[in-house]
Amino acid sequence: MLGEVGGEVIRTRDLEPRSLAALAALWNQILEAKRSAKERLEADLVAREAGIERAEAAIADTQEGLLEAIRRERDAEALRLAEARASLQIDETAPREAADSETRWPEVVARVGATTLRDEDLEEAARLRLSRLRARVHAELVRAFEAEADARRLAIEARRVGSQAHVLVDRARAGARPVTEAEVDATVSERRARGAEARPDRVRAYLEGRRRAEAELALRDRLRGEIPGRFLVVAPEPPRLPARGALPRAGEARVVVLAFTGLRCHHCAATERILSDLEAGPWRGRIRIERRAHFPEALLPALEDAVALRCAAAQDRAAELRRAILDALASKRSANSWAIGRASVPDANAFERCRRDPAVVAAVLDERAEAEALGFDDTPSFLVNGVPRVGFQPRDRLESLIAEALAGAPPDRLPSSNGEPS
Amino acid sequence: MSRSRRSVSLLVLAMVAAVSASCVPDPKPARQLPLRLYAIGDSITRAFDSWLIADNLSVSWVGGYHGTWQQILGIPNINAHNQRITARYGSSGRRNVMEAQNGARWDDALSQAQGVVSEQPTYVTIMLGGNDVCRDDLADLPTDEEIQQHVTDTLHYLDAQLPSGATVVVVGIPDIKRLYDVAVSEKGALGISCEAIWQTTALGFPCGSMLSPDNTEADRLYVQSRNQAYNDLLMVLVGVQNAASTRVHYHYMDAEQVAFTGDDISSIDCFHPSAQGEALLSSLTWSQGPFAQ
Repeated sequence: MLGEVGGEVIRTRDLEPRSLAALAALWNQILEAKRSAKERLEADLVAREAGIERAEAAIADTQEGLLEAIRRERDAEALRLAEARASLQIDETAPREAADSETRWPEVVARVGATTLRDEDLEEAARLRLSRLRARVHAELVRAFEAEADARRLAIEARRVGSQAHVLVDRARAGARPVTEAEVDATVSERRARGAEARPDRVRAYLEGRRRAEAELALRDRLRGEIPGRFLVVAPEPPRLPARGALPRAGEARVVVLAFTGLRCHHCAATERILSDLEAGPWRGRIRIERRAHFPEALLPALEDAVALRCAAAQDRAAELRRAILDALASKRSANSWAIGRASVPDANAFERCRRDPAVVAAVLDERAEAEALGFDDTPSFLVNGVPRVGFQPRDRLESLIAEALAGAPPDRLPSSNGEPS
Repeated sequence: MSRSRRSVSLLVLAMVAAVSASCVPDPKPARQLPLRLYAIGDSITRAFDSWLIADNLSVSWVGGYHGTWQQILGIPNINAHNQRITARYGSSGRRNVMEAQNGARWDDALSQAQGVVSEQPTYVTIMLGGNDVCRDDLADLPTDEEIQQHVTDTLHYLDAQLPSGATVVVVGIPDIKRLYDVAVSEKGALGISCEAIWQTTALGFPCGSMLSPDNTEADRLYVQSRNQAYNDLLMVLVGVQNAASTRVHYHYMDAEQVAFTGDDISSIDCFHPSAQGEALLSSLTWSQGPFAQ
């Protein structure tokens, strides 16, 4: 039951066919999202059960060499996973697909060797995607319910006055105030003053059509007031994502902002300026901002940036290198982050060793994989105390997110420092 | 206008089509295989912003293809009409001509059709009208008479120029209000909300007639009523032409009832179909068409 109007129950099956088709498509997308999560998690379990370690690819000096090394590593890993999977006992329980609702998954969806994979694991692994899809389902249900409720109200009213619903609508539309020549002329003049073509026949058609639509909407509004309805499906809560370090730890800042970002996209550079200001601004001490690498797969310079920043961070020079790379990009100079990095750190030899270290590249790739697993398909994306925001956030929106998180966060665990907002 | 009232109006128009049909008893020649494909249309047919910014011909609902490069680059395989034809009838004698132009309206159809003289296609698809519904200004939507003239001129031209036994498929206009209703709570490029993107209709972003934030719900319902009226006209005119023609097979396909969801809309511009939306269009139009069996 979705709700009721005028004492009549409205169920999913009562909705118009196009909405039912859209809902079926959305439920199928939810099913696919969970299947995809299951495949990923099973692969992780297989790797763990079989003791497969990430391959230590030889990282070459050249850019092409680095990309090749990553590809080789992935191919080798896929091969080992396939071999391990074949040798493991995997028991799976299929979900029960339903025609008019989301598919129900069993509590235990698979056993891989000695490990159990549960429905809640799939929910967690695909939380952002699932929450988006469920929000779409809810929006579709609201739209379709409102349309069906309006149709029911018209039918109820038609029965009351001994007529038919379409007659009531036609009568309302026909009763719309006629459009006068003066109104047409005024609209034509106004449109032409703005540089539009404004043909009188088209203008008249618009004015008449809009007036009829207004009359029909007025009828529907009146009936909504007279014949109340209730929609009973609760909107899904915005998700909180289970990213590593997404929530404040005891004794640290009250709000954690995880920014999954790079430096090479236009909005990434703008984001970096905003983040730097926030770090230095009045919330200092109450928020912690952590940047994690996220960039398109094919954007090798962004990968190099992330490796260089990680190596500069080991010498406490990440902020300086970040600024230097952005300055180079802004001035259209060549922004070779490894060269800039060598010049930015006190120990260039240690920096060189670091950037050639496969473990460092692997850590960067892990961060990017984490962003993808969270469902962040845009760079930059954010978690503010676990609440996700995908895509660029203007300064005022990011600040209001932080303010909301501060308002909802537990009391300060750290003493306030001077200059903080009250 | 409610669906039931539209049905009554359509009944009258369908009767006109039936009378026309009864005047033409001559059977048509056997249908030719759709090996020579010719697409007339607009940015939807060019899959503008469907995957990457600008045209994405490989994911066009009609002319799309999926070769080695598309596989390497991870571009989706949308199983376009072009691919379905090759899969069913083989690649020998195949042609895949894309005449669609971004921004095209029904008054561009006749000029796009000129190429059939040299190409002699056996399968022509027409998907136009989106840009007739989507104008910069609400008060600038074409009248029924104008649309009727353009459609009739185009179909008459095709009838005279196409080889006997050719097939013409006219696809209706998707419900642009549905696009608005679905995408209004979605995000576009760089996570910017679709509503924010649509604010740029004042600066030239297309479809101000439906998407402008200045529009009222009554404005949008007016545009939707024109959307429906154009589709009603297309259905009847195609029916009349099919009944009158002794040479060519004509089909109308409903796209108004396509149930677009969020993933079917471009995540770049919140306006065009995404690659998934193109796949949905391909699937629905093919399954309604004469070569589906």
